[in-house]
Amino acid sequence: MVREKVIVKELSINKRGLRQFFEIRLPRDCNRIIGFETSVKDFDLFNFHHHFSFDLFYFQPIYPAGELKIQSCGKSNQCFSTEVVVSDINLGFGDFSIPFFDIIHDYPWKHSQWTHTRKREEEVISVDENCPTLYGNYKDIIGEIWNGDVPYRVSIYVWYESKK
Amino acid sequence: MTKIIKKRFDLQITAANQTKSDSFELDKTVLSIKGMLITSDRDDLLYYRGTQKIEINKEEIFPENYESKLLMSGINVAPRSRYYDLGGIAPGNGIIKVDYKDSNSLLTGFTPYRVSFYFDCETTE
Repeated sequence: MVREKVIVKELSINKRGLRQFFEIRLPRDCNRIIGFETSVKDFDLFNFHHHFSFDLFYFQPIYPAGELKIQSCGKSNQCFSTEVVVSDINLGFGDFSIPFFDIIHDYPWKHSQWTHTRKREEEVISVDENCPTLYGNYKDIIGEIWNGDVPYRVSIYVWYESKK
Repeated sequence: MTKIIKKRFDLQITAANQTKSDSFELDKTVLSIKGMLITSDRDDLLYYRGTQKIEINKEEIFPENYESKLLMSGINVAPRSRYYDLGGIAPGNGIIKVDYKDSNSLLTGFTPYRVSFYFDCETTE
């Protein structure tokens, strides 16, 4: 019987431009790696939004927190690469429910990550090389953009197929 | 003939930085669990502070430290698509065990809140 399972790896970033190397040990019942997900925790969102102007009609660029690369020990070599994004700062784009000149008060139905966020799904890959360990490196980008040390944590979720 | 129903189970989180565990039993008529969704009366606390481990029939579905935000869907998602697809898991003994952990966050303080787990189930009549 084939089942889908997931394991979690957490990284702690606290320096500008930090590149962190890590390993993810895969369980013995891992038959095939089927996807990756990423998430950022404890990121200073107040400071984050201060770096961007509020404009209903301006679609702002979303800067990544960092870049993640993962390599298997088989022929696939580097099998996954992605930019890790903190959140979508354009959730309020074109949102006329907020009075245009009043953005500091806390309206009950103001757009937020937990009210307007998309459904999250893993990025699908397929690697079936019987690899016991994945090797990865994560490089901080947002610290370099803001020219300062930005502390936050990154969670990496590895989805795999388990055959029993 | 089979039916699709939604079962809801609640956890009350009354203390900060603690793990709250509970087991829920599905009806005997449940044939498979097709999906799940997590919501709260304080979605912001759930989004920033919540992680959970979920077991169905003693099989781990989501491990410890799996963030709750990954199982939440906003109003921009069509109602039919909001449930996280579990692919139709057999209920086995019908017991769902949840270990929900509330952790400190720089972005929000703590106040007691409710976490609700919805399961999309296929049942016999």
